[in-house]
Amino acid sequence: MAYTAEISRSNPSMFLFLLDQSGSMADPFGGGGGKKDQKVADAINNLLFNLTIKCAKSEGVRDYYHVGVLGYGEKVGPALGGELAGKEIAPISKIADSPARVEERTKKVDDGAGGIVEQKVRFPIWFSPISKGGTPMSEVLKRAQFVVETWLGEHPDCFPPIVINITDGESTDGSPLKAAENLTSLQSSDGNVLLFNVHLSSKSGAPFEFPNSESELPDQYAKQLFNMSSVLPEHIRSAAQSEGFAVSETSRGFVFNADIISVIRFLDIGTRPSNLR
Amino acid sequence: MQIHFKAFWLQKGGNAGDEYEDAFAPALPLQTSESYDEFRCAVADGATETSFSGLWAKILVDAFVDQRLTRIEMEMIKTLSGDWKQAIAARTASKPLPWYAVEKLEKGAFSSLMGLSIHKDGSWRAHCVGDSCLFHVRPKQAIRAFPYHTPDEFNNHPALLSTDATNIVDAKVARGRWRDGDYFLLMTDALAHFFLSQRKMRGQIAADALDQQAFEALIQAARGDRICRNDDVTLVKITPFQNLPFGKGNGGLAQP
Repeated sequence: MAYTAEISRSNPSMFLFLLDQSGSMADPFGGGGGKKDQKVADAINNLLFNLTIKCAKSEGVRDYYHVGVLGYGEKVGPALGGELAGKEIAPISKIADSPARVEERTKKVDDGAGGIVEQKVRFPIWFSPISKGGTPMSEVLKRAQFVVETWLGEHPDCFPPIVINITDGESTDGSPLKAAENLTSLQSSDGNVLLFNVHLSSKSGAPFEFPNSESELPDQYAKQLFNMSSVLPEHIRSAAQSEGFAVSETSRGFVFNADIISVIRFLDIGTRPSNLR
Repeated sequence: MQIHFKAFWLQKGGNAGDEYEDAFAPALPLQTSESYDEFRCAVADGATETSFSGLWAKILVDAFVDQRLTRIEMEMIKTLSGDWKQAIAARTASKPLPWYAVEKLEKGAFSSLMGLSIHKDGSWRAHCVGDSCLFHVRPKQAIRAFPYHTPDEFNNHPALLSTDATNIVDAKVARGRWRDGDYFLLMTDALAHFFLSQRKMRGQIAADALDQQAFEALIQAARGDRICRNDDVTLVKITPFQNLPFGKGNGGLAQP
Protein backbone atom coordinates (compact mmCIF):
# COMPACT_ATOMS: atom_id res chain seq x y z
CA MET A 1 0.00 0.00 0.00
CA ALA A 2 1.38 3.45 -0.88
CA TYR A 3 2.37 6.09 1.62
CA THR A 4 3.17 3.56 4.33
CA ALA A 5 6.98 3.64 4.30
CA GLU A 6 8.56 3.91 7.74
CA ILE A 7 9.85 7.40 8.47
CA SER A 8 13.03 7.05 10.50
CA ARG A 9 16.56 8.36 10.77
CA SER A 10 17.79 5.60 8.49
CA ASN A 11 14.94 6.24 6.02
CA PRO A 12 14.08 9.92 6.40
CA SER A 13 11.47 11.78 4.41
CA MET A 14 11.52 15.32 3.09
CA PHE A 15 9.57 18.53 3.26
CA LEU A 16 10.16 21.26 0.69
CA PHE A 17 8.49 24.60 1.33
CA LEU A 18 7.98 27.14 -1.44
CA LEU A 19 7.50 30.69 -0.17
CA ASP A 20 5.85 33.36 -2.28
CA GLN A 21 7.92 36.48 -1.52
CA SER A 22 6.53 38.59 -4.39
CA GLY A 23 5.40 42.21 -4.27
CA SER A 24 1.70 41.26 -4.20
CA MET A 25 2.26 39.68 -0.78
CA ALA A 26 2.43 43.23 0.63
CA ASP A 27 -1.35 43.45 0.15
CA PRO A 28 -3.72 42.91 3.08
CA PHE A 29 -4.61 39.35 4.10
CA GLY A 30 -8.29 38.63 3.51
CA GLY A 31 -8.54 36.59 6.69
CA GLY A 32 -7.77 39.70 8.74
CA GLY A 33 -4.84 40.76 10.89
CA GLY A 34 -2.11 42.15 8.68
CA LYS A 35 -0.47 41.60 5.35
CA LYS A 36 0.01 38.43 3.34
CA ASP A 37 3.80 38.53 3.65
CA GLN A 38 3.49 38.40 7.44
CA LYS A 39 1.14 35.46 7.07
CA VAL A 40 3.69 33.65 4.88
CA ALA A 41 6.35 34.23 7.51
CA ASP A 42 4.01 33.07 10.28
CA ALA A 43 3.03 30.00 8.27
CA ILE A 44 6.59 28.83 7.58
CA ASN A 45 7.80 29.63 11.09
CA ASN A 46 4.88 27.68 12.52
CA LEU A 47 5.45 24.73 10.20
CA LEU A 48 9.15 24.52 11.08
CA PHE A 49 8.28 24.90 14.79
CA ASN A 50 5.78 22.07 14.70
CA LEU A 51 8.01 19.80 12.64
CA THR A 52 10.89 20.39 15.06
CA ILE A 53 8.71 19.60 18.07
CA LYS A 54 7.40 16.45 16.40
CA CYS A 55 10.96 15.22 15.90
CA ALA A 56 12.35 16.37 19.27
CA LYS A 57 13.30 13.73 21.85
CA SER A 58 15.23 13.76 25.12
CA GLU A 59 18.61 13.72 23.43
CA GLY A 60 17.87 16.26 20.69
CA VAL A 61 16.00 16.51 17.39
CA ARG A 62 15.91 13.29 15.40
CA ASP A 63 16.42 13.71 11.68
CA TYR A 64 13.23 11.99 10.58
CA TYR A 65 12.95 14.76 7.99
CA HIS A 66 15.20 16.79 5.81
CA VAL A 67 13.80 20.20 4.98
CA GLY A 68 14.27 22.72 2.22
CA VAL A 69 12.85 26.20 1.71
CA LEU A 70 12.82 27.92 -1.68
CA GLY A 71 11.73 31.54 -1.95
CA TYR A 72 10.31 33.06 -5.09
CA GLY A 73 9.79 36.73 -5.86
CA GLU A 74 12.54 38.97 -7.08
CA LYS A 75 14.54 35.77 -7.54
CA VAL A 76 14.13 32.04 -7.06
CA GLY A 77 16.43 30.19 -4.73
CA PRO A 78 17.17 28.73 -1.29
CA ALA A 79 15.69 30.92 1.40
CA LEU A 80 17.21 29.54 4.59
CA GLY A 81 19.51 31.99 6.33
CA GLY A 82 22.36 32.06 8.79
CA GLU A 83 24.60 28.98 8.74
CA LEU A 84 22.22 27.32 6.29
CA ALA A 85 22.26 30.17 3.75
CA GLY A 86 22.41 28.85 0.22
CA LYS A 87 21.51 25.28 1.22
CA GLU A 88 18.60 23.73 -0.62
CA ILE A 89 18.07 21.00 2.01
CA ALA A 90 19.14 20.53 5.62
CA PRO A 91 18.32 17.97 8.30
CA ILE A 92 15.59 19.18 10.67
CA SER A 93 18.06 19.15 13.58
CA LYS A 94 20.17 21.80 11.84
CA ILE A 95 17.13 23.93 11.21
CA ALA A 96 16.04 23.52 14.83
CA ASP A 97 19.40 24.86 15.98
CA SER A 98 19.43 27.85 13.67
CA PRO A 99 16.46 30.19 14.09
CA ALA A 100 17.35 33.83 13.59
CA ARG A 101 15.96 34.52 17.07
CA VAL A 102 13.57 33.01 19.63
CA GLU A 103 10.71 35.25 20.75
CA GLU A 104 8.67 34.77 23.87
CA ARG A 105 4.96 35.04 23.18
CA THR A 106 1.83 34.45 25.20
CA LYS A 107 -0.86 32.08 24.10
CA LYS A 108 -4.19 31.10 25.60
CA VAL A 109 -4.48 27.41 26.41
CA ASP A 110 -7.07 25.11 27.87
CA ASP A 111 -6.28 24.52 31.57
CA GLY A 112 -7.98 21.13 31.47
CA ALA A 113 -10.63 22.23 33.95
CA GLY A 114 -12.88 24.17 31.63
CA GLY A 115 -10.93 27.40 31.85
CA ILE A 116 -8.36 29.26 29.79
CA VAL A 117 -4.97 30.34 31.05
CA GLU A 118 -2.21 32.36 29.45
CA GLN A 119 0.97 30.47 28.87
CA LYS A 120 4.35 31.76 27.80
CA VAL A 121 5.72 29.98 24.76
CA ARG A 122 8.98 30.20 22.96
CA PHE A 123 8.48 30.99 19.28
CA PRO A 124 11.51 30.65 17.05
CA ILE A 125 11.70 32.91 14.03
CA TRP A 126 13.46 31.66 10.94
CA PHE A 127 11.79 33.94 8.38
CA SER A 128 10.73 37.57 8.30
CA PRO A 129 8.22 39.00 5.79
CA ILE A 130 9.54 39.68 2.29
CA SER A 131 7.47 41.08 -0.59
CA LYS A 132 9.30 42.17 -3.70
CA GLY A 133 9.23 41.36 -7.41
CA GLY A 134 7.04 39.09 -9.51
CA THR A 135 5.63 35.65 -8.78
CA PRO A 136 7.64 33.13 -10.80
CA MET A 137 5.67 30.10 -9.60
CA SER A 138 6.42 27.92 -12.63
CA GLU A 139 10.10 28.57 -12.17
CA VAL A 140 10.10 27.65 -8.48
CA LEU A 141 8.15 24.47 -9.20
CA LYS A 142 10.78 23.52 -11.77
CA ARG A 143 13.49 24.22 -9.22
CA ALA A 144 11.56 22.13 -6.70
CA GLN A 145 11.42 19.28 -9.22
CA PHE A 146 15.21 19.37 -9.51
CA VAL A 147 15.71 19.42 -5.72
CA VAL A 148 13.23 16.60 -5.13
CA GLU A 149 14.59 14.49 -7.97
CA THR A 150 18.09 14.74 -6.52
CA TRP A 151 16.76 13.74 -3.09
CA LEU A 152 14.86 10.76 -4.49
CA GLY A 153 18.03 9.56 -6.21
CA GLU A 154 19.59 9.25 -2.74
CA HIS A 155 16.46 8.04 -0.90
CA PRO A 156 14.52 5.88 -3.36
CA ASP A 157 12.43 4.11 -0.69
CA CYS A 158 11.45 7.12 1.37
CA PHE A 159 7.98 8.15 2.37
CA PRO A 160 7.28 10.43 -0.59
CA PRO A 161 8.45 14.04 -0.23
CA ILE A 162 5.82 16.63 0.56
CA VAL A 163 6.10 20.02 -1.16
CA ILE A 164 4.07 22.82 0.44
CA ASN A 165 3.58 25.98 -1.59
CA ILE A 166 2.54 29.06 0.42
CA THR A 167 1.26 31.75 -1.95
CA ASP A 168 -1.44 34.17 -3.02
CA GLY A 169 -1.58 32.19 -6.24
CA GLU A 170 -1.08 35.12 -8.62
CA SER A 171 1.60 33.57 -10.84
CA THR A 172 3.34 35.95 -13.24
CA ASP A 173 5.29 33.44 -15.34
CA GLY A 174 2.41 31.59 -16.94
CA SER A 175 0.29 28.70 -15.80
CA PRO A 176 2.09 26.63 -13.17
CA LEU A 177 -0.06 23.54 -13.85
CA LYS A 178 2.41 21.74 -16.09
CA ALA A 179 5.34 22.35 -13.76
CA ALA A 180 3.18 21.09 -10.87
CA GLU A 181 2.31 17.93 -12.80
CA ASN A 182 5.96 17.27 -13.56
CA LEU A 183 6.81 17.65 -9.88
CA THR A 184 4.09 15.29 -8.68
CA SER A 185 4.96 12.72 -11.32
CA LEU A 186 8.18 12.06 -9.38
CA GLN A 187 7.96 9.12 -7.05
CA SER A 188 9.72 6.96 -4.52
CA SER A 189 8.96 3.26 -4.23
CA ASP A 190 6.25 4.28 -1.75
CA GLY A 191 4.29 6.66 -3.96
CA ASN A 192 4.20 9.95 -5.81
CA VAL A 193 5.52 13.24 -4.50
CA LEU A 194 2.75 15.22 -2.81
CA LEU A 195 2.15 18.90 -3.56
CA PHE A 196 0.00 20.81 -1.09
CA ASN A 197 -0.94 24.46 -1.43
CA VAL A 198 -1.62 27.10 1.21
CA HIS A 199 -3.55 29.92 -0.47
CA LEU A 200 -3.27 33.21 1.38
CA SER A 201 -5.72 35.49 -0.34
CA SER A 202 -6.64 39.14 -0.09
CA LYS A 203 -10.22 37.97 -0.62
CA SER A 204 -12.17 37.73 2.58
CA GLY A 205 -13.81 34.36 1.90
CA ALA A 206 -14.37 31.83 4.71
CA PRO A 207 -11.35 29.62 5.45
CA PHE A 208 -11.31 26.23 3.75
CA GLU A 209 -9.37 23.16 4.71
CA PHE A 210 -9.00 20.15 2.40
CA PRO A 211 -11.98 20.84 0.12
CA ASN A 212 -13.48 18.14 -2.08
CA SER A 213 -13.94 20.17 -5.24
CA GLU A 214 -13.06 23.54 -6.72
CA SER A 215 -16.74 24.53 -6.81
CA GLU A 216 -16.50 25.49 -3.15
CA LEU A 217 -13.69 27.99 -3.82
CA PRO A 218 -14.06 31.75 -4.34
CA ASP A 219 -11.82 32.65 -7.29
CA GLN A 220 -9.65 31.50 -10.20
CA TYR A 221 -6.45 31.52 -8.15
CA ALA A 222 -7.92 29.30 -5.47
CA LYS A 223 -9.34 26.93 -8.08
CA GLN A 224 -6.01 26.72 -9.89
CA LEU A 225 -4.09 26.00 -6.67
CA PHE A 226 -6.71 23.41 -5.72
CA ASN A 227 -6.27 21.63 -9.04
CA MET A 228 -2.49 21.66 -8.55
CA SER A 229 -2.83 20.03 -5.12
CA SER A 230 -2.45 16.30 -4.55
CA VAL A 231 -5.36 14.23 -3.35
CA LEU A 232 -4.87 13.27 0.30
CA PRO A 233 -3.49 9.72 0.57
CA GLU A 234 -5.60 7.27 2.55
CA HIS A 235 -3.56 7.28 5.77
CA ILE A 236 -3.47 11.07 5.88
CA ARG A 237 -7.18 11.22 5.09
CA SER A 238 -7.95 8.77 7.93
CA ALA A 239 -5.87 10.82 10.34
CA ALA A 240 -7.72 13.96 9.24
CA GLN A 241 -11.08 12.25 9.73
CA SER A 242 -10.15 11.10 13.21
CA GLU A 243 -9.47 14.76 14.06
CA GLY A 244 -12.88 15.80 12.81
CA PHE A 245 -12.01 17.16 9.37
CA ALA A 246 -14.80 16.56 6.84
CA VAL A 247 -12.66 14.89 4.18
CA SER A 248 -13.51 12.42 1.43
CA GLU A 249 -11.65 10.45 -1.22
CA THR A 250 -11.51 13.54 -3.42
CA SER A 251 -10.21 15.92 -0.74
CA ARG A 252 -6.97 17.61 -1.68
CA GLY A 253 -4.05 19.01 0.25
CA PHE A 254 -5.22 22.60 -0.13
CA VAL A 255 -6.18 25.21 2.42
CA PHE A 256 -7.59 28.71 1.79
CA ASN A 257 -6.85 31.48 4.27
CA ALA A 258 -5.98 28.85 6.87
CA ASP A 259 -2.89 27.06 8.10
CA ILE A 260 -1.77 23.55 7.20
CA ILE A 261 -0.14 22.64 10.53
CA SER A 262 -2.52 19.70 10.91
CA VAL A 263 -0.72 17.84 8.10
CA ILE A 264 2.30 17.48 10.37
CA ARG A 265 0.12 15.76 12.98
CA PHE A 266 -1.24 13.41 10.33
CA LEU A 267 2.21 12.03 9.52
CA ASP A 268 3.24 8.87 11.33
CA ILE A 269 6.64 8.56 12.98
CA GLY A 270 5.41 6.29 15.76
CA THR A 271 2.93 6.32 18.63
CA ARG A 272 1.16 9.63 19.09
CA PRO A 273 -1.21 9.53 22.07
CA SER A 274 -4.78 10.34 21.16
CA ASN A 275 -4.98 12.45 24.33
CA LEU A 276 -1.85 14.53 23.52
CA ARG A 277 -3.10 18.12 23.69
CA MET B 1 3.28 -19.53 45.60
CA GLN B 2 6.49 -19.44 43.59
CA ILE B 3 7.19 -17.63 40.36
CA HIS B 4 9.24 -18.20 37.26
CA PHE B 5 9.83 -14.81 35.69
CA LYS B 6 11.59 -14.04 32.45
CA ALA B 7 11.87 -10.82 30.48
CA PHE B 8 13.29 -10.05 27.05
CA TRP B 9 13.53 -6.80 25.14
CA LEU B 10 14.86 -5.27 21.96
CA GLN B 11 14.93 -1.66 20.87
CA LYS B 12 13.44 -0.53 17.57
CA GLY B 13 15.60 -1.45 14.57
CA GLY B 14 17.86 1.46 13.71
CA ASN B 15 17.85 2.83 17.28
CA ALA B 16 20.56 2.60 19.89
CA GLY B 17 19.98 0.50 23.02
CA ASP B 18 19.64 3.57 25.22
CA GLU B 19 16.80 4.79 22.98
CA TYR B 20 14.58 1.88 24.08
CA GLU B 21 11.43 3.48 25.55
CA ASP B 22 9.57 0.44 26.85
CA ALA B 23 10.00 -0.64 30.46
CA PHE B 24 9.32 -3.70 32.59
CA ALA B 25 9.42 -4.56 36.27
CA PRO B 26 10.54 -6.23 38.40
CA ALA B 27 14.06 -5.97 37.13
CA LEU B 28 15.95 -9.19 36.49
CA PRO B 29 17.30 -11.37 38.03
CA LEU B 30 14.48 -12.73 40.16
CA GLN B 31 14.91 -15.42 42.80
CA THR B 32 12.48 -18.18 41.85
CA SER B 33 12.91 -19.91 45.21
CA GLU B 34 11.22 -16.98 46.91
CA SER B 35 7.68 -17.52 48.08
CA TYR B 36 4.95 -14.96 47.36
CA ASP B 37 1.46 -14.20 48.64
CA GLU B 38 1.15 -11.70 45.82
CA PHE B 39 3.40 -11.15 42.82
CA ARG B 40 3.19 -7.90 40.87
CA CYS B 41 4.74 -7.15 37.49
CA ALA B 42 4.25 -4.65 34.70
CA VAL B 43 5.25 -3.54 31.21
CA ALA B 44 4.92 -0.05 29.74
CA ASP B 45 5.55 1.59 26.38
CA GLY B 46 6.66 5.24 26.25
CA ALA B 47 5.15 7.15 23.32
CA THR B 48 7.44 7.94 20.39
CA GLU B 49 6.13 11.46 19.94
CA THR B 50 6.76 12.65 23.50
CA SER B 51 10.10 13.15 25.20
CA PHE B 52 11.53 11.37 28.25
CA SER B 53 8.87 8.77 27.56
CA GLY B 54 11.10 5.85 28.54
CA LEU B 55 11.75 7.46 31.91
CA TRP B 56 7.99 7.84 32.49
CA ALA B 57 7.40 4.23 31.45
CA LYS B 58 10.01 3.05 33.98
CA ILE B 59 8.52 5.17 36.77
CA LEU B 60 5.09 3.66 36.08
CA VAL B 61 6.16 0.00 36.09
CA ASP B 62 8.27 0.43 39.23
CA ALA B 63 5.40 2.22 40.97
CA PHE B 64 2.98 -0.55 40.04
CA VAL B 65 5.28 -3.24 41.40
CA ASP B 66 6.01 -1.47 44.68
CA GLN B 67 2.36 -0.47 45.05
CA ARG B 68 2.82 3.28 44.85
CA LEU B 69 0.39 2.94 41.94
CA THR B 70 -2.56 0.75 42.81
CA ARG B 71 -5.15 2.50 40.69
CA ILE B 72 -5.16 5.19 38.00
CA GLU B 73 -6.21 8.34 39.81
CA MET B 74 -5.10 11.94 39.89
CA GLU B 75 -3.22 12.09 43.19
CA MET B 76 -1.12 9.01 42.49
CA ILE B 77 -0.28 10.20 38.98
CA LYS B 78 0.56 13.66 40.34
CA THR B 79 3.09 12.15 42.75
CA LEU B 80 4.72 10.04 40.06
CA SER B 81 4.75 13.00 37.70
CA GLY B 82 6.68 14.89 40.35
CA ASP B 83 9.23 12.06 40.36
CA TRP B 84 9.49 12.34 36.58
CA LYS B 85 10.11 16.09 36.71
CA GLN B 86 12.73 15.70 39.43
CA ALA B 87 14.55 13.02 37.46
CA ILE B 88 14.66 15.27 34.39
CA ALA B 89 15.84 18.24 36.42
CA ALA B 90 18.68 16.13 37.78
CA ARG B 91 19.67 15.01 34.28
CA THR B 92 19.56 18.49 32.78
CA ALA B 93 20.99 20.51 35.67
CA SER B 94 24.43 20.91 34.15
CA LYS B 95 23.28 21.89 30.65
CA PRO B 96 20.34 24.16 29.83
CA LEU B 97 17.85 22.68 27.41
CA PRO B 98 17.47 24.12 23.89
CA TRP B 99 14.18 25.86 23.05
CA TYR B 100 12.60 22.81 21.44
CA ALA B 101 13.38 20.54 24.38
CA VAL B 102 11.77 23.01 26.80
CA GLU B 103 8.74 23.26 24.55
CA LYS B 104 8.48 19.48 24.21
CA LEU B 105 8.80 18.89 27.93
CA GLU B 106 5.81 21.09 28.55
CA LYS B 107 3.69 18.64 26.57
CA GLY B 108 4.68 15.98 29.10
CA ALA B 109 5.36 12.31 28.56
CA PHE B 110 2.89 9.55 27.75
CA SER B 111 3.03 5.81 28.19
CA SER B 112 0.91 2.70 28.11
CA LEU B 113 0.85 0.50 31.20
CA MET B 114 -0.11 -3.13 31.76
CA GLY B 115 0.16 -4.18 35.39
CA LEU B 116 -0.57 -7.71 36.63
CA SER B 117 -0.96 -8.97 40.17
CA ILE B 118 -1.11 -12.71 40.83
CA HIS B 119 -2.28 -14.10 44.17
CA LYS B 120 -1.59 -17.35 45.92
CA ASP B 121 -5.34 -17.94 46.35
CA GLY B 122 -5.51 -18.58 42.60
CA SER B 123 -6.80 -15.15 41.55
CA TRP B 124 -5.23 -12.56 39.31
CA ARG B 125 -6.01 -8.99 38.38
CA ALA B 126 -4.73 -6.71 35.59
CA HIS B 127 -4.88 -2.94 35.11
CA CYS B 128 -4.28 -1.50 31.67
CA VAL B 129 -4.07 1.86 29.93
CA GLY B 130 -3.25 1.86 26.24
CA ASP B 131 -2.23 -0.99 23.99
CA SER B 132 0.22 -3.12 25.95
CA CYS B 133 -1.33 -6.58 26.29
CA LEU B 134 -1.75 -9.51 28.61
CA PHE B 135 -2.22 -13.12 27.52
CA HIS B 136 -3.29 -15.72 30.08
CA VAL B 137 -2.33 -19.07 28.58
CA ARG B 138 -3.58 -22.49 29.56
CA PRO B 139 -1.38 -24.65 27.31
CA LYS B 140 -3.20 -26.69 24.69
CA GLN B 141 -6.52 -25.34 25.89
CA ALA B 142 -7.08 -21.62 25.66
CA ILE B 143 -5.61 -18.12 25.56
CA ARG B 144 -7.34 -15.17 27.10
CA ALA B 145 -6.23 -11.83 25.61
CA PHE B 146 -6.65 -8.45 27.31
CA PRO B 147 -7.44 -5.71 26.34
CA TYR B 148 -7.25 -6.49 22.60
CA HIS B 149 -8.41 -9.71 21.00
CA THR B 150 -7.62 -9.13 17.33
CA PRO B 151 -4.78 -7.43 15.44
CA ASP B 152 -7.22 -4.90 13.93
CA GLU B 153 -7.72 -3.24 17.29
CA PHE B 154 -4.22 -1.78 17.31
CA ASN B 155 -3.45 1.66 15.88
CA ASN B 156 -0.78 4.29 16.42
CA HIS B 157 -3.00 6.59 18.49
CA PRO B 158 -4.09 4.93 21.72
CA ALA B 159 -5.05 7.01 24.74
CA LEU B 160 -2.13 6.79 27.18
CA LEU B 161 -1.13 7.74 30.72
CA SER B 162 0.15 11.29 30.83
CA THR B 163 2.47 13.06 33.26
CA ASP B 164 -0.28 15.70 33.26
CA ALA B 165 -2.48 14.48 36.11
CA THR B 166 -5.43 16.50 34.76
CA ASN B 167 -5.36 14.38 31.58
CA ILE B 168 -6.37 11.08 33.17
CA VAL B 169 -7.53 8.16 31.07
CA ASP B 170 -9.62 5.42 32.65
CA ALA B 171 -7.86 2.12 33.17
CA LYS B 172 -9.39 -1.14 32.01
CA VAL B 173 -9.45 -3.92 34.58
CA ALA B 174 -9.57 -7.66 34.07
CA ARG B 175 -9.79 -10.45 36.64
CA GLY B 176 -9.44 -14.18 36.47
CA ARG B 177 -8.23 -17.34 38.13
CA TRP B 178 -5.09 -19.31 37.43
CA ARG B 179 -3.95 -22.84 38.19
CA ASP B 180 -0.68 -24.76 37.97
CA GLY B 181 0.39 -25.12 34.37
CA ASP B 182 -0.91 -21.68 33.34
CA TYR B 183 1.38 -18.86 32.44
CA PHE B 184 1.04 -15.18 31.65
CA LEU B 185 2.64 -13.11 28.89
CA LEU B 186 2.87 -9.33 29.03
CA MET B 187 3.86 -7.57 25.83
CA THR B 188 4.08 -4.09 24.43
CA ASP B 189 2.06 -3.39 21.31
CA ALA B 190 4.30 -4.34 18.39
CA LEU B 191 4.95 -7.80 19.85
CA ALA B 192 1.34 -8.21 20.97
CA HIS B 193 0.13 -7.44 17.46
CA PHE B 194 2.62 -9.98 16.10
CA PHE B 195 1.47 -12.58 18.65
CA LEU B 196 -2.19 -12.09 17.75
CA SER B 197 -1.64 -12.09 14.00
CA GLN B 198 0.92 -14.93 13.71
CA ARG B 199 -0.60 -18.00 15.42
CA LYS B 200 2.19 -20.28 14.21
CA MET B 201 4.84 -18.13 15.93
CA ARG B 202 3.17 -18.20 19.36
CA GLY B 203 4.91 -21.36 20.44
CA GLN B 204 8.33 -19.82 19.80
CA ILE B 205 7.48 -16.65 21.70
CA ALA B 206 6.21 -18.58 24.71
CA ALA B 207 8.84 -21.33 24.63
CA ASP B 208 10.53 -22.18 27.92
CA ALA B 209 13.85 -22.41 26.13
CA LEU B 210 13.66 -18.85 24.79
CA ASP B 211 16.59 -16.69 25.84
CA GLN B 212 17.57 -13.13 25.01
CA GLN B 213 19.67 -14.16 22.01
CA ALA B 214 16.94 -16.32 20.50
CA PHE B 215 14.39 -13.59 21.19
CA GLU B 216 16.44 -11.00 19.33
CA ALA B 217 16.94 -13.37 16.40
CA LEU B 218 13.21 -14.12 16.26
CA ILE B 219 12.27 -10.44 16.28
CA GLN B 220 14.88 -9.41 13.73
CA ALA B 221 13.73 -12.17 11.37
CA ALA B 222 10.11 -11.16 11.83
CA ARG B 223 10.95 -7.52 11.15
CA GLY B 224 12.83 -8.55 8.04
CA ASP B 225 9.80 -10.53 6.86
CA ARG B 226 7.61 -7.51 7.68
CA ILE B 227 5.37 -9.53 9.97
CA CYS B 228 6.41 -7.62 13.07
CA ARG B 229 6.23 -3.83 13.08
CA ASN B 230 9.55 -2.12 13.69
CA ASP B 231 9.20 -0.74 17.22
CA ASP B 232 10.61 -1.40 20.69
CA VAL B 233 9.50 -4.88 21.82
CA THR B 234 9.20 -6.22 25.35
CA LEU B 235 8.13 -9.68 26.50
CA VAL B 236 7.59 -10.77 30.09
CA LYS B 237 6.64 -14.37 30.92
CA ILE B 238 5.34 -15.20 34.37
CA THR B 239 4.70 -18.77 35.45
CA PRO B 240 3.17 -19.07 38.92
CA PHE B 241 3.01 -22.44 40.59
CA GLN B 242 1.75 -24.12 43.73
CA ASN B 243 -0.42 -27.11 44.23
CA LEU B 244 -3.86 -25.57 43.79
CA PRO B 245 -6.93 -27.92 43.74
CA PHE B 246 -8.63 -28.04 40.31
CA GLY B 247 -12.36 -27.50 40.58
CA LYS B 248 -15.12 -24.88 40.61
CA GLY B 249 -13.98 -21.36 40.30
CA ASN B 250 -10.92 -22.22 38.25
CA GLY B 251 -10.82 -21.66 34.58
CA GLY B 252 -12.68 -18.76 33.04
CA LEU B 253 -10.50 -18.74 29.94
CA ALA B 254 -11.97 -18.15 26.54
CA GLN B 255 -10.66 -18.67 23.03
CA PRO B 256 -9.48 -15.46 21.43
